Amino acid sequence: MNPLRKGLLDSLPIVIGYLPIAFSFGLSATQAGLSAGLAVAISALVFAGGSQFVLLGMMTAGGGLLGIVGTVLLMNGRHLLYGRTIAEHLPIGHTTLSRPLLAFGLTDEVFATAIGKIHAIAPFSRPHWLLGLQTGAYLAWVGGTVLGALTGAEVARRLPLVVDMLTFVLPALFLSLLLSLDWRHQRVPVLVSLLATPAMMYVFPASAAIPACIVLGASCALFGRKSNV
Amino acid sequence: MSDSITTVFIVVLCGAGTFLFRLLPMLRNAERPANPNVVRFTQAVGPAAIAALLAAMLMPFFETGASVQIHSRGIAAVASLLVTASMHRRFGGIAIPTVCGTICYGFLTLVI
Repeated sequence: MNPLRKGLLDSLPIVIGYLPIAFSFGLSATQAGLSAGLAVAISALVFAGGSQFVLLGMMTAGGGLLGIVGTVLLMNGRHLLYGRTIAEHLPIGHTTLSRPLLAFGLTDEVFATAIGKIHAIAPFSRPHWLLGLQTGAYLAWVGGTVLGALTGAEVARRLPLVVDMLTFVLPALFLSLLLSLDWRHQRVPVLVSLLATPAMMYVFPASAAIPACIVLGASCALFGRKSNV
Repeated sequence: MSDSITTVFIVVLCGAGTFLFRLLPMLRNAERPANPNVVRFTQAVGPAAIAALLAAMLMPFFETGASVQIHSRGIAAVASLLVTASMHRRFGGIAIPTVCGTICYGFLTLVI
């Protein structure tokens, strides 16, 4: 199968997870007073779920430029850990797709899916496969925002149960991703991150606790036996 | 809230900063690192990141409080996680376990 098409197919679980969350964002943004156009522009330009809701909340609360931008970038600081990990799986010196293009869509869910599946992709097909994965995710995110911004208020009024149910999509998606990674080979890093994150979040904001726990968990791999993901 | 110039500027800055966070580490990896510790660390980042994000996303379902409704969300979340895991064990993949776990949560919030 064409690697781009395979990547699009492999993005389906992310699409299922993204559509309701993006829908919620579009709805929240327009209810907060933003135009549908600006709501969609946020999803198109930032493309980072949780921090978009924080951005929206701080704008609604009247936050200043430095405070809002600083907080959003702190929240997204964990993305610094993703690019290098993905780059190690790409063929050296590939020129068919530039790295800026492949870096743009590196969200939590894209990264998690890529890490779980990229080993099964032939090395020189990986850039196109990754592009397909990101394209599916991006279209779902922007498309869901469009739907939410234009129709969300009516759906929430008619189907409140569906809106409540969809709050569990991302936890279910992330558990499925973790299980697909055969996490047992990284048992200690996973358990350390899983247990440390709630503890840290009671004391520190999520923007600091999450990346700290990722580094803490990954660092545990340095003390254990060599293992493969 | 109107779409002022400042608002647009904030969105552009957030987008540009997030993009650079994703891009710069990729650019630095011009050749494969020889240090095995770096390799072991980066191999563990993926699972550690997913685990940390999973834990963070589950926290709102287990907020402490005296309300029965709050506790019922936690019970529904635990049961739905078990359904998600069992569906993964049965069918593999990501889509079916995700959908089944989500539907289970929606059903349980009705009955609990």
